[in-house]
Amino acid sequence: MSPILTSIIKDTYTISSLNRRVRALKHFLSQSLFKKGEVSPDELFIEDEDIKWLENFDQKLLSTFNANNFYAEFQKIEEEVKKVTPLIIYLPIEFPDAEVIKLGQKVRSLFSPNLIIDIKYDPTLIAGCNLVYNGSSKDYSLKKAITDNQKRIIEEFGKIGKA
Amino acid sequence: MLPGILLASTLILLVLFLLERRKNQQLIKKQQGEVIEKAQEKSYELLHQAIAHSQNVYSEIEKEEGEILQKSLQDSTALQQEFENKFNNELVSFKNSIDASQVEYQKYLEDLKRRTEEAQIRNQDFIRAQIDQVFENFEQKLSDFLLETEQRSVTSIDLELKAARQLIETYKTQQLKLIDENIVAMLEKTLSLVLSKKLTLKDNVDLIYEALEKAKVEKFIV
Repeated sequence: MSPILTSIIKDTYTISSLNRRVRALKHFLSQSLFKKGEVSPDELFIEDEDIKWLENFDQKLLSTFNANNFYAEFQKIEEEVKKVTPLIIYLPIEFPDAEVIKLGQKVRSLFSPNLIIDIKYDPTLIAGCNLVYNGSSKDYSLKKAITDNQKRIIEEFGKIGKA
Repeated sequence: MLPGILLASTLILLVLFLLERRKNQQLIKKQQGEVIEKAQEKSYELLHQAIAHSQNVYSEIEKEEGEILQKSLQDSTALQQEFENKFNNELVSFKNSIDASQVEYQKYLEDLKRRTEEAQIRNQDFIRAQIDQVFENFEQKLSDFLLETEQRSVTSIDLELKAARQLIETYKTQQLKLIDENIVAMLEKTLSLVLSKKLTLKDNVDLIYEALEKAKVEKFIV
């Protein structure tokens, strides 16, 4: 993984954020490199949190870009981003952004420091989550628990009915 | 010449023959006349004799006839008397025999009547017994038939009931199966409705973190 991507990923936890930030960075750098005058992230159509992120981004790394290598470098970055295998997490409810970040941090603490997650929503899970990574999936949802214990549940209902 | 001679000789012979014949005939006639006369005389004589004889015979016959008639009259009277006697006797005996026959016939009729009555009574008894037997058989067969019908009805009703029960059982099983299949779906739906309101964000987060911990333990991501 390239240093710039590593740096981008450091504070970016979801794949959508990663793509967005890569695009934002590209846009910001393209404006900076090819437009006359100083360019501030505020002037660009970039989200607020990304603006903050850009402002806090490692400037040294940004300085490695120039008009000559800009497109090539970003092509590499984009290709690397495409190769990123995210951990897809199906959640039953919508998480606020803060919780998403915490979730990303938790995932990284458990599995890999550069692991990117992809949040999807599936209300039918009821509770818990369903994890999909690299083609395999593991369902830790309440729905799965009910399905696995269907027989027992029906027996219990039967007992209740007889009682 | 010769034929002429022969012819002439023949003619001569013929003439001679005819002359002879004529002569003979005349002679015969003469003889016959004599004979006839004689015969006639003889016959007249015989006839006279016969008549006399027959008159004798006739008178004798008349005489005998009278005697016979006399005798027969006497005989017939006796015979008649005898016949009458015999007839009366026969009549009496016939009458007696008829009376006896009548009596016997009367007896026979009475006996026949008695036997007929007895036979009638026996026949009536027999017919009565037959009818009773027929009724008895009929009652028995009817009772058997009713019993059999009842059994068949009961059996068929039992079969119908069994089939109906089986159908109900099958339906019940199918419905229970449907309920079992749906109960889980209902439970899921209920839980999703209830827990979405009852479970807080923290609870959800905790559950997810728990799932991630489990995934780490199970080495889901290597």
